[in-house]
Amino acid sequence: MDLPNDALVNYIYPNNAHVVWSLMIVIYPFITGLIAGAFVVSTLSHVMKIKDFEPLANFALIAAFCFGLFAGVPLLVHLGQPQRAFNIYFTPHTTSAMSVFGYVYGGYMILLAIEIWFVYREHFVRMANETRGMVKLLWSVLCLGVTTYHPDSGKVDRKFIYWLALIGIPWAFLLHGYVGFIFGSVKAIPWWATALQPIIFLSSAVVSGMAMILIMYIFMKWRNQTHYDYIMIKKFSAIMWGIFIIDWGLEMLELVHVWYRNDFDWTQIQPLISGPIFTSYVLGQILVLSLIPTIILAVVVLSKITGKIMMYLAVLASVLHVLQVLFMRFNVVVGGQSISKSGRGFVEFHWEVFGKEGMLTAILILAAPFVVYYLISRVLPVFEVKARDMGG
Amino acid sequence: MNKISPRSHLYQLGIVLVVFFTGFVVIRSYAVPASWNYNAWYRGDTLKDLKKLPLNYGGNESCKSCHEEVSLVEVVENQGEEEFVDEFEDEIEVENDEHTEAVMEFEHKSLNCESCHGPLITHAKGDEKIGDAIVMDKSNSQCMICHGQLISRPVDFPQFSEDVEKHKDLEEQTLCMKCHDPHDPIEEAELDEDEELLGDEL
Amino acid sequence: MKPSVTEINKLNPDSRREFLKNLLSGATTATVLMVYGPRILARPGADTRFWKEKSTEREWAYVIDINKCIGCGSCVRACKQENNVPATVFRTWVERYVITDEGVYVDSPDGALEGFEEVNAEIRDHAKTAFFVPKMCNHCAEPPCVQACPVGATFKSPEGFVLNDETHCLGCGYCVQACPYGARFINPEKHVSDKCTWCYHRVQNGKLPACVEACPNKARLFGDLKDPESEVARIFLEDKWMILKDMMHTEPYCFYIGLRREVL
Repeated sequence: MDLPNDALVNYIYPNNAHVVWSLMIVIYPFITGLIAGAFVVSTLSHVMKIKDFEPLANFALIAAFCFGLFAGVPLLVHLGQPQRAFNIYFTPHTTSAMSVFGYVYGGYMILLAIEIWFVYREHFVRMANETRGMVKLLWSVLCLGVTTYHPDSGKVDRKFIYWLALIGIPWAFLLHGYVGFIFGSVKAIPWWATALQPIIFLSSAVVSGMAMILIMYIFMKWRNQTHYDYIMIKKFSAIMWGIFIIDWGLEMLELVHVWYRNDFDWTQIQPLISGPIFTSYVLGQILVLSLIPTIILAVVVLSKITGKIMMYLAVLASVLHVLQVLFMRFNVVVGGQSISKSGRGFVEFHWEVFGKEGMLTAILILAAPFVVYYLISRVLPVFEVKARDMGG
Repeated sequence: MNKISPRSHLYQLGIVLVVFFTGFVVIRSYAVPASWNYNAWYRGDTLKDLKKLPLNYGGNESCKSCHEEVSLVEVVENQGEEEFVDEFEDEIEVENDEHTEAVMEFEHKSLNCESCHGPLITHAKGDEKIGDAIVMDKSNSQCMICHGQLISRPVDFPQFSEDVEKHKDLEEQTLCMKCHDPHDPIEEAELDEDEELLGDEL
Repeated sequence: MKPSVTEINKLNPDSRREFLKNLLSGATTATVLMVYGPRILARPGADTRFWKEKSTEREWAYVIDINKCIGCGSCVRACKQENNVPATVFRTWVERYVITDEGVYVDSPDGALEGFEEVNAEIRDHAKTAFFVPKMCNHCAEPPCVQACPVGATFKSPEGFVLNDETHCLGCGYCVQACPYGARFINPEKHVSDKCTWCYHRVQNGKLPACVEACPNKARLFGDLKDPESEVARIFLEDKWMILKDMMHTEPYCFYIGLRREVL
């Protein structure tokens, strides 16, 4: 292995023997990215009034909420003292980039819940009137006791949905952008310390959220045997393609910049990307998982191809995009810590399967939002309601 | 809630949010530690807690306080009770005064007693002896950990290679302590040939 | 004496202008002095953004003399025993540097808990110079770990100790990432962040830190910079000290003597 600073042997500080932030902290920004991305999709219709993406709006909102429910879970699993997690609400130390997490995340979840409540309130009211017994009680509680849908409240609700979605955009960006800032502000870790980090995190979040929503949407359409909206899929792919090119451009800008700057940071980063994370970063993140979907989406967007072939290509590109972003999270989180602060060596990352912060836990946490989404879709008409509600 | 207006659900939502935030503010006011320092942002009592941690090592001064006869006299003298000293001088127990020399005069006086004899906490509690200050390891490695030949050591620091060149006359490897008093290694050890070295209580 | 408003008004326009001019320049000078004065008088660059309650009585400092360290590891052993530090983590450790004509060899087997064995013959034969470097928490005046701690569990005490409240710490590990010196770690037994305390409990009870106490060759010194009699104050006065990673602007309060450029 290529070692920095004339090192003859790989020397890491004795306290650097393990990567402190492992898989849990890899999937945490991945999940918050999905929230931000999914929310952006919902605002395409709710705020920007792009009619084509109306079918996605409420569905994306519910998906964002489902991801949101589990954004904090990897953190709790990671914490040494999870029972003290609320200290971040009680004594947030404002000098710390991390301290706002509690309020930004909690506030955002409240905002999402309220927005969803407004979107589906009419459904809640209907169910409270149509059901009996305990079920009726539950629906009535969800209605907050107002079990009559006033004919004029649709207008009021739509206004609130618009404003909540409007506030939600910067809030979602804050929620995820600040995750980038948590990494970008650590001066001790050269691979993290860049002002571009929040922007890169944000753009990749939007890509991953859009790609995930597209995959979920097509999956559900396929399962329900309903028709596919090819025109919408094509337009959606075009936006995703554009944002990914910006995202990838920013990632390359960061790399080229640190290479050109050629300072101490590069003495650490050059051996890092040519050694420990060569496969996951160079081959995975910036070549295979970036160039292939970009080419595929170029075909989807620029050619006259349509129908199922176009849709399959869009799905394939989306899967690669989601993987690219997951790889990017891994390369940032683990790659940064692979550089020992000794400046003369690299820490080895140990893959765990069954450990507390192992792959199994990660897979369970990543699967959980989809399970919850399935459960919600049993009780909420995720797709149907909105056509009527939003149409007016 | 008989009259339903287009906004009545908003009032309900408002009540829920107000209850939620009030609850949060109340819980928070109890959850912040009482001694919280709002200026420097930490729990003020942490300093008290840390100050109470046990001192495992006493330092050479603490060894002297029991093992040095002179210091006892000095303590009393410093308090200006010289008459008291004159009166009871004979009664003040003179204990192991070689320890005094070890700390004050011998070649190894800069060493920390507890580095070899173990931390004070295993030996004494206040003025009471609770255990022997046994030197667990009397092998040559105990000497070589400081005096072994290493290129990284300062050149003026006494170092010996494993075969101890200065002792060419010795035919087989032997314990350093057989000849060198660990407290004053320049002087020859005042030991008999057959005196048990390993496990010896000091 | 400050003239009252009525007095100023009594003055003729010229002298009033003069007065205002003086007032302005006086205020400017005072402001400049107030802002920069303490910084000029203090240690160069010692701006204390994260040291919010600085004691005026004491200013503790730690000095490590590279020329005197013999790499015996007594300090590491003493620290472990004094603070019950688990085997796999270190509040202090000793590094060995061997500068050869082919590169820099650095190691710290088990943090030097059992001292050092000689380097292999190949390294030894190419060695140009070699030395030991004890490392520990630098108790920075601008501690990145204090800045990073999201809940105020880590803080800078008025006397300058960077400490951790293990009853309030979440164990998130952000401080571990933020520290450029690898001095912080997650305690594998307590599952909270842990670090060197400069033996706060000892110093506050009139003793020296255990590592200082244990050092057989006076390579480690600890004292009060405000006490002109102290050894650290004398060393500081001589201005021969160096600090680790000064580009990080952490303003360490551990000062090194004889530190070579190869040390990172």
